[in-house]
Amino acid sequence: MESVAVGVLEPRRRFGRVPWLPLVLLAPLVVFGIGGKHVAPHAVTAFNLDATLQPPVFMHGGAWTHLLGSDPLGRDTFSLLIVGARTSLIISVVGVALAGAVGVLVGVAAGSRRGALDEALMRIVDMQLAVPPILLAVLLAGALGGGLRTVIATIAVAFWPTYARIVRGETLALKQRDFVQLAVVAGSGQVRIARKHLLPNLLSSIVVVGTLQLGAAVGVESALSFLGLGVQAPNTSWGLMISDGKGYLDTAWWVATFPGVAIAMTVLGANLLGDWLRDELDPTTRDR
Amino acid sequence: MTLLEVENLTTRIATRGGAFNAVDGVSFALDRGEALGLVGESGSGKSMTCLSLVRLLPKRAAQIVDGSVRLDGQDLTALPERSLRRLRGSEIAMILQDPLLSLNPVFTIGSQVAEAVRLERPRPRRDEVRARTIAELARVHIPSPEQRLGSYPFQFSGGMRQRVAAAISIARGPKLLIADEPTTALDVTTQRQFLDLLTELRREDEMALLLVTHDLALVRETCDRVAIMYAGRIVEHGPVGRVFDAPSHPYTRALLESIPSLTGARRARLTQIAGEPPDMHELPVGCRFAPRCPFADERGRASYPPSFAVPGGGEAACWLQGDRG
Amino acid sequence: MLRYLSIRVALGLVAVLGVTMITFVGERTAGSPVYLMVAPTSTQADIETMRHKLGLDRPLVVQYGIFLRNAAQGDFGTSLKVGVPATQLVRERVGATVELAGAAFLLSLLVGVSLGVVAATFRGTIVDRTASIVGLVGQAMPGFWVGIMLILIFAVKLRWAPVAGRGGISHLVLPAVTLSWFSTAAFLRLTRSAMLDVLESDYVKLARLKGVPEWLVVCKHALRNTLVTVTTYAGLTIATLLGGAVIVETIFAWPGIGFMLTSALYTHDYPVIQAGVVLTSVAFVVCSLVVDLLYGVLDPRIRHGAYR
Repeated sequence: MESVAVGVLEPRRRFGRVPWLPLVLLAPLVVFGIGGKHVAPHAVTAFNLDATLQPPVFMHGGAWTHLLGSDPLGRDTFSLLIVGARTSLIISVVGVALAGAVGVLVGVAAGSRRGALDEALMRIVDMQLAVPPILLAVLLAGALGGGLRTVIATIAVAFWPTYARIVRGETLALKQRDFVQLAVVAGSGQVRIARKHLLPNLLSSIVVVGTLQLGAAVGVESALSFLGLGVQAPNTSWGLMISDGKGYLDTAWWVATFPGVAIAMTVLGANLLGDWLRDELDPTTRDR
Repeated sequence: MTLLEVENLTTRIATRGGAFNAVDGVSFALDRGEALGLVGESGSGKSMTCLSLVRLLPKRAAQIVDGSVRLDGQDLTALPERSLRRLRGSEIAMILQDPLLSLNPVFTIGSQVAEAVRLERPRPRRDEVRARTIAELARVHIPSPEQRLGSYPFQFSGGMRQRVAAAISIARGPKLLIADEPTTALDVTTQRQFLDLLTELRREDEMALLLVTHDLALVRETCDRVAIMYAGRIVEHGPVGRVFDAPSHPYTRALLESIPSLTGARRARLTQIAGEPPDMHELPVGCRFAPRCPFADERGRASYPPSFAVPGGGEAACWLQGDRG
Repeated sequence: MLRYLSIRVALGLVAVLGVTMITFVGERTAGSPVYLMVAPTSTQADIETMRHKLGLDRPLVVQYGIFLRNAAQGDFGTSLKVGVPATQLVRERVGATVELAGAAFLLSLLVGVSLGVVAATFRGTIVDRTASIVGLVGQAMPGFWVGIMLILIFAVKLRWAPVAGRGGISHLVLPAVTLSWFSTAAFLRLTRSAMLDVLESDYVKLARLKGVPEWLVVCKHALRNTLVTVTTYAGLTIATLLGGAVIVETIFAWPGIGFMLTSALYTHDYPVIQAGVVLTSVAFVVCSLVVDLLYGVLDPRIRHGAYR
C-alpha cells in the first residue's frame, strides 16, 4: 500500500518559444499524409499518356494542371508526392512505434532487473548495433522481399536497439531516485513500479528519441524504396519516385528532384522538432 | 608601493533569467608583496572579480561595464587584447580551483610547464627550457622533477597537481598571483602545505597575492589584509588582525561566528547565518544583507550604506559603523 | 587494455556470425534462385535436379554447417549467376570500394572537422550560423538523392564530370562527395559541439592565463582534446560509410562490393551475398578496433588504465 505520490521529477516546464520552423516543415507531411489520395488533384493511377513529361508550372511549357510536372507515365508529380507522403507517414509512424514498444520493453526490463537478463539483452543490442543500419536494412529487405510490411518490419528491427540502450540508461538513473526507492521499500511489485514511476519519467526521452527516429525512418524507407527493396509499384513512395526519375535527368529533372526535397524537409523538420523537444523537456541539457 | 588599484569595477553578466551586475562597484588596492584575502559565499562575485581582473570573462555572457583596474598605473580594462595577453603570465598569473580540470589531461606536465617557460621574452634556448622546467618543478617541491617530466596530470595526487599549476603560473615571475579557491579541492593537510608554499614563493619574489576563498581560517594564516564580499559588493575590509578580532559588519561577524571553534564551550551550537543570499535579479533596495541582519533597522532597509572608516584599519559599509565612528 | 580489446574482438566475431546467420536463413526462406537459373520450360523434375545440385534440398542447419566450414577456409562457393567463385568476385571489387570509402572518409573528416573547428572558434558569427545550417540540412538530405542531384547538376547540365563508372579522379569526385555527405555534416556538428565544450574548460582557461596566444590555444590545446571525442565518432562513420557505399555504388555503377551485393540480392545469389556480408562486417569490426586503438593513443588516460 503506497501513499507515495507518483514522483514526477520536475514541475512541467511551460513550453516557451513555439518551434515554427519544424512545424512548418512537417505540416505538409502530416496534412497530406492523412489526406492521402483524397487530397490529391489527380488520381495516381491515371496514366495520361498525352501529358507525359510535362514540366512544372514555373517553367516554359508548364501548366497549372500539373503543378510540379508529370512523370514518364503522365502521372502528376504533385499528386504522387501527396500519396507518397501518406506512405512515408504510415511506414515511419508504425515502424518507429513498433521499435519503440520493443525497445522500451527491453530497456526497462534490462535496466530494472539487471543481472543475467540485462547482460544478455545488452549483448544482443551491442551485436546488432555492430552492423551498419543501412546494411542491415538492405539485407533484411532483400531477404524478405519488398513491400510495405517488410519495410515496417525492417525499420522496427533496425531501430529498436537505440531505444533499448537509451531507455536502459535512463532506467538505471531513475532507479536511484528517492521516489523509486520508496516504492520498492513500500513493497510495490516490479511491474507496478515500472508502470507508475518509471514510465512517466521516461516519457520525455521516449518522445525525443521517437521524433528523431521518425526522420531517420523516412530516410531509411526512401533508401530502400529507391533500391527497389522497399515499397513496390503500384504503391508510391518518395524513394521510388526518385528511382523512377533517375533515368530522365536530362529530360525531366523534376521527377527526381521534388521527392528529395520532400524527404529533406521532413527529416529536417523531425530533427529540429526532436532537438526542440529535448531542450524543453530535459532541463539539464544546454542549448548551443 | 601600490601594485594593483581596482576602482569601482562593475561586471555585468547575462543569464537566462536576466542580466545583473555580478561585480557591482568593487574597489580595493594591493601593495607590492602584499597578500589580500577576498572572502565570500558562492555567488558573491569573487570569482567574477578575478576573471574581470585578467579579462577572461565568458565572451558572450559577461562584460566589464564600468570601473578601472590599474596594474602599476596601467588600466587593464582599456588595453587592447594583444597587450593584455602579453601581461598574462608575465605580470599577472592565476591559479584555478581544481587542478585536475585546469591541467590539460592529454599533455605531460613537463610540456605544460615548458610551454610557460617558453613564453618568456627573450625566448630561452631549448636546453635552457628544459633546465628551467626542472628548476620550476623543484621550486614547488615536486620530488625528482627530472623523472616526472613525462608524467601526465592524472598520475599525480591532488596536492602535487596544484603545485604543478602553481609552477606553471609563476614560471615567469609575475608580480601578482590571483588564487581562486586554490585549496578547495584539496584535503586539509595538503591545504596547509600548499598555502605554506604560496607564502614561501611570495617571499622569494616579492609577489603580491590575491587569495579568493570562502574559508576565513585560511585567510587568517596567509594574508595581510582581507576584504569581505557579499552580493557583488565589498562590505568590509581591513587588516586581518583587526577584522578577525573586531569585526564591524554584521555579515563578517556572522561568518566568524559560524566557524566551529575548538576552544569554545563544549555544547555550544553551531551557528548558521539565517536566510539565504539574495537573488541577484531582485536585489533589495538598501543594504543587501539587511534581510538576514539581526541588527537591521530602517536606514539599512531604505538605502545602501556608504563605507565608514573603522578604527584599527579598513572600512565597513554599515550604518551602524557610521553611528559608532 | 588488452583485455578490453580482446572482448571487443570476440563480440565483433559474434556479431559477424549473427549477421551471416540472419542473412543465411533469410535468403533461403525468401526467394529461390533456382527459378532464375533454369529455362522457363523446365519441368518440376528439372527444378528438383537443380535444387539438389545446388545442395538446396538439405536441411537448413546442414547447409549452414557446410557454409561455415567452407567459409573458414575462405571458400564461399561459386556465384550462382556468374559462375565464378564468390571470393574471386569479392577480390576483384574490394579495391573499388576501398578507394571510394577511403576518399569519402578523408573528405568528410577534413572538411567536416575543419568547418566544425571554424564554427566553434567563431561562435555566434555568420560563419558559425552558416556552418550549422549546412550541417543540419546536410544531414537531412537523403544521400542517394544528393548523388542524383549532383549527377543532374554536374554531369548532365554542366558536363563537368562523367555520369557513372570508375576511372580517374573525375570519376571519383561525385561518388566520393555523395558518400561523404552525411558524414561531413555529422562531423561538423560533432566537432563544433565538442570544441565548444573544450573551449569552456578550465585547462583552456589556464592556457590563456599563461599568456599562450589564442591561435595556439585553439590549434594545440583545444583541438587535441576535441580530437579525442571526434575519434569515437570516426568509428561510427566507418559503419555509415560502409552502409552508404552500397547505395552510392549502385547509383554510380561503381564496381565495388556494394554494387555486387545489391545485384546479388536481386538475383538471390547466395554465395555472393554471404561473401559480401561477411566481408563488410569483418571490415567494420576491424575498423572499430583500429579506432579504439587510436583512441588509446590520443588519450593517455586510457593507455595507462586510468579508467576502470
